[in-house]
Amino acid sequence: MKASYFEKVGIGIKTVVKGMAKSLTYFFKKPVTLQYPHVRKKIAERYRGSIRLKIDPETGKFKCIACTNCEKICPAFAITLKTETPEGSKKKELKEFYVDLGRCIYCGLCVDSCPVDAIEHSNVYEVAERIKDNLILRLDKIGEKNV
Amino acid sequence: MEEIKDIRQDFYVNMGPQHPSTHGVLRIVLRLEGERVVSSETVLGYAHRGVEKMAESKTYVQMMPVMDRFDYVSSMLYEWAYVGAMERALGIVPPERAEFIRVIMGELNRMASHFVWVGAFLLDLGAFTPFLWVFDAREKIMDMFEEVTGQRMTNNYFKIGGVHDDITPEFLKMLDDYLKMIYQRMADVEELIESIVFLERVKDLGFISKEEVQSYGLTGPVARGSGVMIDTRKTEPYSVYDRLNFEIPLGTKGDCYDRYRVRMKEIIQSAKIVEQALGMLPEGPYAEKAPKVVKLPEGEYYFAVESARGLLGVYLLSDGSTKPYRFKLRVPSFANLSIIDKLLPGNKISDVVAILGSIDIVVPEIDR
Ligand code: SF4
Ligand code: SF4
Repeated sequence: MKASYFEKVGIGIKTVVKGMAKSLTYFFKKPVTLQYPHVRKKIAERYRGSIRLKIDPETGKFKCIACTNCEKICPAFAITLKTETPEGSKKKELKEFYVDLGRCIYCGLCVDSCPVDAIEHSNVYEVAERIKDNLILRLDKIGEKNV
Repeated sequence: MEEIKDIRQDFYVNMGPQHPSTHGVLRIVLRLEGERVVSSETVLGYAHRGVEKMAESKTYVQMMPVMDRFDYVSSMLYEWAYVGAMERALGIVPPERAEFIRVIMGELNRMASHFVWVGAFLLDLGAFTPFLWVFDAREKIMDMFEEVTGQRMTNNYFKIGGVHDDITPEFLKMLDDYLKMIYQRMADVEELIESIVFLERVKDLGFISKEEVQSYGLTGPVARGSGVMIDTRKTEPYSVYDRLNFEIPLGTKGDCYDRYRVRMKEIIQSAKIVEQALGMLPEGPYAEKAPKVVKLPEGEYYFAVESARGLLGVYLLSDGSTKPYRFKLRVPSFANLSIIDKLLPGNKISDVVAILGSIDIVVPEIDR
């Protein structure tokens, strides 16, 4: 049997009231949103934020051995390395290490590919900039913007 | 007579590429007669990035993060299909624990995807409160993902031979709380949604028959809404799904309401699978040793999983180098969308949104 128009209106009002009652129970619950700049969420430890180079606590120098693995594996071409081989030595040394956060997709492949565990993700996620070039970070200089 | 014909002229409306309810850059050209749709034409290509071609110039490992970026709502299921194809080629069998972690993550991701769908579908129909409720439920899943994988959406968590990291005690605690909450939340959402206002809009709308399911190659909840039992988890069990006990919800009539019901029931089923997998989770390593440089032996490899939208297949043709010779995806949304031009004619323009929403498409996987 098909409900008539007025019956339907009646059912409609009934269900709306029922829905309202249900919503009211949520009205008294604690809000789930955060007032973002004032209140910050706890970020997970494994969170993949912007890239940084690790410092060896013993020597106080960067651990990086300039193997360029991370540069090669980066799918977004975000890492640029400049290396040099000092005279009388066979080992390459790191000269400049740039990462372009505008290109980085925070995938973590560079961290996985490093043989000496010299690069890591920080928990920094607020990396917005006004000028695009500021997103290119030089990581091998402390004091320069090294987040 | 002549004048009346003039008034009833056909009228063309472009729905999209930036219509809010096309969920991305999809364009549908609607030919209208008054308020009725006479015919429609779907235009694709606005989000085409040439990913299948790009795969040929990226190594197998470099393609991993790209897999997250097709269907960004259920990204780990895509990783699963890709990793599965590579594991099949290399003959690596992931350890038990890894398989169960994959099942837990995959099902959570399916739930998250269905939550997005329910929210967006109802938003299209004009209901706002359920959207907030289901997005709260999804947000908690995203928090769990962040805890384990390090990212909320583009997780890059699956690796050849297992997963990237083990799950943490913190995650188990969050998951426990979540499973306690979710059944009540689903009951609340259903009670709120299923008012006559909603039912009148979605019932007896957009019928898909069983024959059409087969001839159009529809899969996923769209096919199951019509009562066709297609689910890769049951028909071709991969991973440890054959050891888990779960039901595949089926619809009867194949209208928008059935498709909605199927998805709502699937959320509950997924929660049950997660519960079971959690109980069966064995100790042990979470990843098998994988080669450092991935080179697939020459040949063709295919692996299919059930994504949140249907059958998802990854096909790899390898010539023995570090890059695929050909990379092809069989995506569910593309096939599911193909029926839309059949469904729309004859319906009112306000129903177009409901029908399109019930198909559940994600444009970046259609245009890839
Ligand atoms: S996280 Fe990924 S995209 Fe970013 S620098 Fe590392 S490899 Fe490149
Ligand atoms: S992979 Fe590690 S050691 Fe090699 S260049 Fe990158 S940061 Fe340095």
